[in-house]
Amino acid sequence: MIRQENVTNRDLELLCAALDHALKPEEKVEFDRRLTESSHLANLYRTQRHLKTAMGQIPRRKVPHNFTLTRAEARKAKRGNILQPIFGWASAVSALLVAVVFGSQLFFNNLAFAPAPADGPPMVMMEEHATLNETASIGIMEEKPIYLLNWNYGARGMGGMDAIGGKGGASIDGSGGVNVNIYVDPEAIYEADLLLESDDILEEMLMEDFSVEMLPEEQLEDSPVDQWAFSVEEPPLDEVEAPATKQLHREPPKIYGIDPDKVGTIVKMNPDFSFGQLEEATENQAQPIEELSNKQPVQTEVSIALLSAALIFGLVWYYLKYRR
Amino acid sequence: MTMEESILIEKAADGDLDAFNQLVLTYQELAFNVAFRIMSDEASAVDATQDAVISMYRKLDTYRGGSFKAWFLRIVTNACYDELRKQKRRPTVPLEPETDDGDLLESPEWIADQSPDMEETMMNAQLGRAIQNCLDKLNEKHRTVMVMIDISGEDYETVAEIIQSPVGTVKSRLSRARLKMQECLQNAGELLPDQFRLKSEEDDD
Repeated sequence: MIRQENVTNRDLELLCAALDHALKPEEKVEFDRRLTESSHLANLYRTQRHLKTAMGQIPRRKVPHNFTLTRAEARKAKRGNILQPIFGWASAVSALLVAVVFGSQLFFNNLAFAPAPADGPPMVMMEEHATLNETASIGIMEEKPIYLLNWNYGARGMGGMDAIGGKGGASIDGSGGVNVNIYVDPEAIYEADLLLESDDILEEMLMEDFSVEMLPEEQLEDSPVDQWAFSVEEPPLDEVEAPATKQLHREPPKIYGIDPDKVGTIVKMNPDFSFGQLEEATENQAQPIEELSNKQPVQTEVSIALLSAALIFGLVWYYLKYRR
Repeated sequence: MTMEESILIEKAADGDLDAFNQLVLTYQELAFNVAFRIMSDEASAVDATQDAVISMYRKLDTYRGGSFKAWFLRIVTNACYDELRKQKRRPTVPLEPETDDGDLLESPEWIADQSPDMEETMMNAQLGRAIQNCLDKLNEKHRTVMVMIDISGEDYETVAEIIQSPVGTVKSRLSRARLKMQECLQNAGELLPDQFRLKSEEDDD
C-alpha cells in the first residue's frame, strides 16, 4: 500500500511539485519540514524520484518515415475536409427533419383522439364536423318529432313537470288520471332562451290542447281500462296563437295506452335494429374522424425517404471521418 | 515560439505546402513518440501521427495563436484517442511470437550481440518495455499526462493547454498516475535492470 495514513493530499501535491521542480520557496520550506516529520513521505519522494529518472531515460524512438505531405495528399486532405462537414450537416439536418415529422405526426394523432376538449386547429376541424352532423340531425328532427315517451294512466295526486330540450308536460286532475307526454322538440333545444321567455304561453297552449275527460271515480274502478275516455281537442294549428317572436309548430301528442289484450305477452324479443346496423352506423359516424386523422401533414413516404437520407449521409460522413 | 516558426505557420495557413512540411519535420519526432507511448504500438502510432498531420493541415486556418507545439500535440492526442477507440471496436492480434504466458518473445536482435553498447541498449529496452507495460495499465487521461510531463518533459501549463483542463487537474492526474506507476513497477521489480529498480521502504531498511 503506497498511500500511508500520515501522507495527506497536500503532501502528495507538494511531492508532485517537488519532483517537477515547481515548488515555490514557501512550499519548499513546508515540504522539507514534512519530509523530516514523515518517513513514509520521505520514502515516497525517494521512490518517485527514481521513477521520474527512469521515465526520463526511456530512449526516444526515431520516426519510421517522414510525415510530410505530398501535393496529391494535400489536395486529397482538403477535398475530404469539404465533403466531410457537408455530409455531416446533411445527415444532421435530415435526422432533425425526421424527428420533427415523426414528432408532429405523433402530436397531431394524439390530439385527434384526445377525449378531453383542447384548443387548437385539429379540434376546430372536429367541431366543424360535429356541427355539420348536428345540422343534418336537426333537419330530420324538424321534419318529424321524435317521441320519447307518451303514456297515460289513471292516478291520483298532484304534480307537474316541464323541461326544456326533452319537453315534458303533465296535466293532472285532482280526482285522478294523468297524461304524460315527453318528446324531443328540436326548436326547444336551440331556442331555449326563447322558450324560457314564452314559457307561460306554452303552458297555456298545452292546457288548451289537451284536456282529459275523467270518468267518475266509481265508474273508473268498474270499467276496463280500454273504456277510459280520453279526448283530445285539437284546434287547427293556424288558430294557435303563436308567440310574439317565434312561430312554434306543434303536433298533437300520440297517446299510447296499454293494450289489455297484450298484457302479459311478449311483444318483441329483439330490437328493431341489429347490432350490425348499430356498428355500421357507428363506423359511418367515425369515418370522417378517421379520415381527418389520416390526413397527416407529411406522408409516411417522405418520412422514410428522410430517414434513409439521414442514414446514408451519416454513413458517408462516418466513412470520410474514419477512413484511412 | 520563434519568429521563424510564426512565419512558417502564417505561410502554411496561406496554403504554402513547403512551409507546412517544415513545421511537420520540426515536430514529427515529438508527435510520434507521444503517440507511441499512448498507443503502445508503432504501427498505431504511425497511423495516429499521420492522421494528426493531415488534420493539422486541414485545421491550420483555425489556429489562433498561442503555443503551436501545444496545439499540435492536442491534435496528436485526439488522433490517438480516435485510434484507441477504433482498436476497441476492432481488436487486433499481434503478429510477434508469444510465450505460453502471453509475453512477447525476445527479439533476436537483443541476443545477437552482448557488447557493452548493446547491453545498455538492451537494458534501456527492458526498462522501456516495463514502463510501457505499466503505462498501458493506466487510463487514457492519466497516461497522457504522464507521457507529456515525465517522458516528453512538458510543463504543467503546456499540458493543461493540450488537454484543455486546468493546471490543478493536470497536477492531480499526474499525482495519481505516478502512484499507480510506482505500484506497478514495484510489483514488476524483478523485470527491471538493477539501476532502475524502485526501492521500497523495506528494501532500504
